[in-house]
Amino acid sequence: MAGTATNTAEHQDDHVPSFFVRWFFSTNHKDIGTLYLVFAILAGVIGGAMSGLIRMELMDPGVTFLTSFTDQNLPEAAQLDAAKNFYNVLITYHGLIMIFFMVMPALIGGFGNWFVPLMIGAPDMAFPRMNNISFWLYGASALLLTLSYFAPGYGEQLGFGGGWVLYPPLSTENITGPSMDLLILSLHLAGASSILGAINFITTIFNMRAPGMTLHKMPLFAWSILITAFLLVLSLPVLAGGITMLLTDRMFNTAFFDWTAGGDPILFQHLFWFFGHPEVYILILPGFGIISHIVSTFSKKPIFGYLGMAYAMVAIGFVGFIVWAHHMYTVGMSVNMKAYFTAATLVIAVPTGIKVFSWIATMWGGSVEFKIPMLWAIGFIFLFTIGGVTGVVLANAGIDHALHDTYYVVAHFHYVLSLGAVFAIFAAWYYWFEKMFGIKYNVFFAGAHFWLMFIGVNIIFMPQHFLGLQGMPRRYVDFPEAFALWNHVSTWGYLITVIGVLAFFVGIVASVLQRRKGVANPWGEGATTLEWTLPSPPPFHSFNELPKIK
Amino acid sequence: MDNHMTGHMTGGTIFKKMPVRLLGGLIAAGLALMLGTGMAVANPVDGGLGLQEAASPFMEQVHQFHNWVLMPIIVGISLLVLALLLIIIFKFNSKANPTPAKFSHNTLIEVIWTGVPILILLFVAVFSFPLLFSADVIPDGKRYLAQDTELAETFTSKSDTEFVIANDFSEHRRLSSKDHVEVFVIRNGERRELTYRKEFKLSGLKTDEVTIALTEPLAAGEELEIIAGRSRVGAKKFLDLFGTDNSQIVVAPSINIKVTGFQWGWNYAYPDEGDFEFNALIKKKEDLDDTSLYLFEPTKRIVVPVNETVRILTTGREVIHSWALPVFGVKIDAVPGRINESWFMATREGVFYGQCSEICGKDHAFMPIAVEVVSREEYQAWVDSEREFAGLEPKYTNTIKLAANADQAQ
Amino acid sequence: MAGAVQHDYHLVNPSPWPFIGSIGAAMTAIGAVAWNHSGDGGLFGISGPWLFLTGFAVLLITMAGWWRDVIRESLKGENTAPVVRIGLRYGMILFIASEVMFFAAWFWAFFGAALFPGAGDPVILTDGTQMLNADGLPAYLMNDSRQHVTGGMWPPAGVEVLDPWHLPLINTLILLLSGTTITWSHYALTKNDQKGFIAGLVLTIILGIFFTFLQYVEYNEVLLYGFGDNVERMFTYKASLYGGSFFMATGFHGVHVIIGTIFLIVCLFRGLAGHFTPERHFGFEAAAWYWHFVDVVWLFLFASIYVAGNEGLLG
Ligand code: HEA
Ligand code: HEA
Ligand code: CUA
Ligand SMILES: [Cu+2]
Repeated sequence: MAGTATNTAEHQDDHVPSFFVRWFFSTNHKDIGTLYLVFAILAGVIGGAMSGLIRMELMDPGVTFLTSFTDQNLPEAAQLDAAKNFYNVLITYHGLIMIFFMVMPALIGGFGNWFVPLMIGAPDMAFPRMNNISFWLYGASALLLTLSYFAPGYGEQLGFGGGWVLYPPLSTENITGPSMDLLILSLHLAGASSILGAINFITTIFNMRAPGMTLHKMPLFAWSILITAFLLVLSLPVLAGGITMLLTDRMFNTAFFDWTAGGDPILFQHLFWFFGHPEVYILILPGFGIISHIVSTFSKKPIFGYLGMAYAMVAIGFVGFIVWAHHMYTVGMSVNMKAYFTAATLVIAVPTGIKVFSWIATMWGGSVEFKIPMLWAIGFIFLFTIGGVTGVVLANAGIDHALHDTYYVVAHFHYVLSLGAVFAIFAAWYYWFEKMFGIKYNVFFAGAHFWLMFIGVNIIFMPQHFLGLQGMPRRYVDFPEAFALWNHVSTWGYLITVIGVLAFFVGIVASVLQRRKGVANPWGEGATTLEWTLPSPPPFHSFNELPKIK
Repeated sequence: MDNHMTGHMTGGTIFKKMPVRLLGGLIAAGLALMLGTGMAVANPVDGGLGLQEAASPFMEQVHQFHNWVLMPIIVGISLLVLALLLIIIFKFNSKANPTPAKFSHNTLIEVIWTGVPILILLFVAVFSFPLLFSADVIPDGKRYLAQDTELAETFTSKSDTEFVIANDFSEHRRLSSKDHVEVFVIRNGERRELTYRKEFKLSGLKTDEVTIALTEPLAAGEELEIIAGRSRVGAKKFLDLFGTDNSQIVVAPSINIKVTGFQWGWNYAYPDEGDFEFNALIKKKEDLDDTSLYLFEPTKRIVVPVNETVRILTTGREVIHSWALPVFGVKIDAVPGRINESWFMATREGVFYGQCSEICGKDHAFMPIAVEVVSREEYQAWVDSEREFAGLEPKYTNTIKLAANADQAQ
Repeated sequence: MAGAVQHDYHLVNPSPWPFIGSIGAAMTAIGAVAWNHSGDGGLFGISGPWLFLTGFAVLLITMAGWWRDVIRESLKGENTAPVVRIGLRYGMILFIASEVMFFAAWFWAFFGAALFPGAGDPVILTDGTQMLNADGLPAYLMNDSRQHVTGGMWPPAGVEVLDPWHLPLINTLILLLSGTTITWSHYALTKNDQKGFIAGLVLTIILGIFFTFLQYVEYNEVLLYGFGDNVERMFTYKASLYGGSFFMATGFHGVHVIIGTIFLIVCLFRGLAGHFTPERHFGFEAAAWYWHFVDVVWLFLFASIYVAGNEGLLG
């Protein structure tokens, strides 16, 4: 009764379904991966545009820019109020979109879907149909997020402006409009999607590796997705519980966070960050995996300390679960708790250091070619290190009293996210572009993209460290003159970055127009993982015959 | 050392006992007030790169930790990574090095790059934990003076060189090391710290009574001041080796300020000083003489005496706010239904600014904080004017009412 | 080119259900918000339950259609290769793991309140008196208002709680018993004892329904009468720390019992239709695992909320 016989009947040929069926009813990991990538690019554009509005407003002191987006018939004071609220809404949705709708879909849904099965020599994901509902639930989630943005939140003002961390009582008692309810349910859907996706990845990786591919021979990208998936399965449900409490406090008047009835707003912060901290590693671990492959490929050397690399990620994932309250040093925790969380947080620097140094050791002695993906990878290593070490500064509760909720934190997490995770995304994009789409990327625009963004994002975020040290609080629509200079510089950095992102899109158009046909393995001897054994693009059904690993 | 002594020299309690000094203090204070906000130092500077200048021993400790421990480490690590990458770029590019090496293991180097970071982090922790405890444990130091007063305890003298203080701190906070006792001699208002072993010795640490034995008896006109407790805060000798010790034992708070954040402003009460409270909202740009203070200057500043420990008790009215004052290194959330505590001790007179630091809705950026640090006399005068405004009898009848504070009372 | 399929994995044909189901999910969610805001103007002109109900119907249809497809595939032997069945096991275990973490959040809320029903030290002023809080009551550090609401104890002062050794104990026994009947049923199935299999399963379902019924009886009592002496401290789900954490934790458990029961009922019909063989019955096995999970969650609820909490052993 083994499935072979029956399966063959229906999947013999490389039959590609009609357009609608192919893209809406898909059960093909590569197509679903592509859908995710398109989704992520759209979200990146929207989230990036929002950050543009943020930076334009912050270019100079005074609330001047966002007022032009308000109803010009209103009296000036009302316009001002609307602009202030709009700012809060912008940062909230910027954060949420970038994290949940750009980085996660790109790295996990996009590259994870595309390359985990290819790298482990599996014909598809374990649950192809469930794979598709992961994607479409993301669509549903994005729809709710969009509606939430346009629904009343604080009084008549549209959108929820309480920050991406959704802290009550602001999100329960104060911003009472339907916007917040939609946002909560949007996150429920995104969470359900990610949990199903994660279950799919774990099952695929545990159950569908090609014959001979033991876990200890598995490519690091698959390792990174495996660990990420575990973090998702174990942390997202806790967020789901927390936001469900928000919802019932709002809708049914329960008292989880209602202090007048003995509830505790801090409870939510614990639940949120119990998810939120693993979440930041969810955002970066797949990037770690990608960088490992790129570094090895272009150095034409095997990865240095492969097992150490894999288990460093395991360690990061594990320790990531027991450090959450380092986001809460100022909420009034006991000093012993703070001391514990300081110590635990510092520990994470050790396995992360192992990764950074192993990448360097992989390149060391190599014959390194600085092709575009490699540029992004090297940029990643350097900039992620900067972001990581400022994290170590913040980890110290004593000094976090000075830095919490200042731009120092904003600088820290953009270095690890916008200059870390995003660099990894672009590295992967150029690394696998030819493989996914069967054409070569345009080298000129790709180069311009890298250099403009590299320079731009550093100009955006390096000065934000100074602002933070000087004490500028985050989530501020307006700031005193004492913070003028660095804000101005930062906004100019954004303008450079935007040109870089533009080069990204022009590059796509150019490569489509050029249609330089891709080859199976454009990178040569350094590219050793299984996806390079397939043609570019791979057939609709890859590995109908499973590869054997010695 | 200098800082440290002048710090204590201006201490309010000393003035209090000496009417002549008092007058001098008042003149100085009046002068300072005329200079108005010109006194404001140690607030953010445009283009500034580092932490704001410190105005409290705790913030000095933060400075030391950040500038001398963390910055060198993180800059060093970043530069190391950069340097290694540059070497790779120049030495191991495919032109310079056409045949790649094949190694993928080296146990020694792996042990090193695991071990060395652990050591670095341990080194960081050595500074981090004391800093955390300085921030979080409300100081419980005690000041002992020969005579006096409301704010100080008295000691007993066994002989003219031997003085006894009760070691009656709570269980885990008892005096147990030489670092827990500071001895000063005051002469004509000048305060000089005695050196341990050379000028005084300690016995009875860890027991119920601690004896301070001076090597020489006090001269005529000299007075003794002892400060004891475990709450030692401030920049210390780096690793007990380099630099000067600017730390000091901080005495227990003499003032509690109850801070209630609301949308959007702060409500302040001084429960020790009587039943008055006031709101501080943002001061409009039009109402400011110096518009660069827009978003920093509230309609009303809180006033505290210099060199005294102030305990801040925060709570929120409807959503979470956060009371932050960078020059003191203070940031403490104001959560509805909860009461949080923090503390600071300003070592300099002046006006210091902070801002709400937890998103609290539309006007989150518009709820500034300002602390005016003044002498104890001025503080008392200010308290009395607030009391008067609230219809209460003056509390500190021995102080002169300061005209300069009148506008604050509105 | 790809060549003939040489492996046992299950390559699923394109399916409309994920897309339709997501539309249903979006409709349900939007509809829920619109319904909830009916009183204050609805959402984008939508109010009342219709969108929610429609969406929910779409979801139910999706589930039915989707699982119908899965069952058909199983009958055709498409998803029954050993390796696929192992995959399904992984999937179910991980799903249950995520459910466990979901309950972790509710237990966190419960223990956060029950273990720490009070506040920190009193706030003492320099003159030795205790500061007053905004309500003019003696102030405490940390969770001041909780101290005043609960009186610093758990169950909170004034809340009258359910007796754990009454219906809750009976319910515990019911679930424990159902754990054994489902194991019996499974054992019988592996021994090809069709009668025993069906009997065990039917018994389990009956016990599950009985459990739900008893929970209903108990909820009803609380909801109707509300236990306690004043509005804020009453044991209701509204505006009550105790009530909210009790009802949400036990309520989510109840929902899982109902889902588990439906799952078992589906398995009963499949069993009667002869879908399960002694070797191949993953659908049943998954239902049994789920049932055990629901059972274990109850044991934790019973031990912590009903026994330790209500008997005052925690706070
Ligand atoms: C990709 C996402 C990502 C990553 C990887 C990290 C990584 C780290 N983060 Fe970060 N963090 C965020 C995203 C991320 N963070 C976000 C989004 C926030 C803000 C959320 C919000 O409030 O909105 C935040 C906030 C945040 C805070 C709270 C600040 C505050 O609000 O006051 C803290 C405090 O401890 C912290 C610490 C750390 C640490 C110690 C690491 C470590 O993992 C870093 C480890 C890496 C290195 C250290 C560099 C490489 C190592 C070496 C080269 C070896 C040698 C190094 C040493 C010996 C030091 N982060
Ligand atoms: C991944 C996360 C991420 C990313 C990439 C960014 C990118 C940027 N962010 Fe953002 N940001 C956050 C996460 C992120 N941010 C979060 C969580 C917050 C906190 C919110 C809160 O306080 O609640 C925040 C807050 C925040 C603030 C602080 C607001 C405040 O506190 O008042 C500012 C201010 O300058 C800012 C600016 C920017 C800018 C200029 C960029 C630029 O780098 C943008 C340039 C654009 C891109 C880099 C996108 C390009 C990507 C694509 C086009 C997709 C490509 C996809 C594929 C190839 C598949 N962000
Ligand atoms: Cu108050 Cu922010
Ligand atoms: Cu974190």
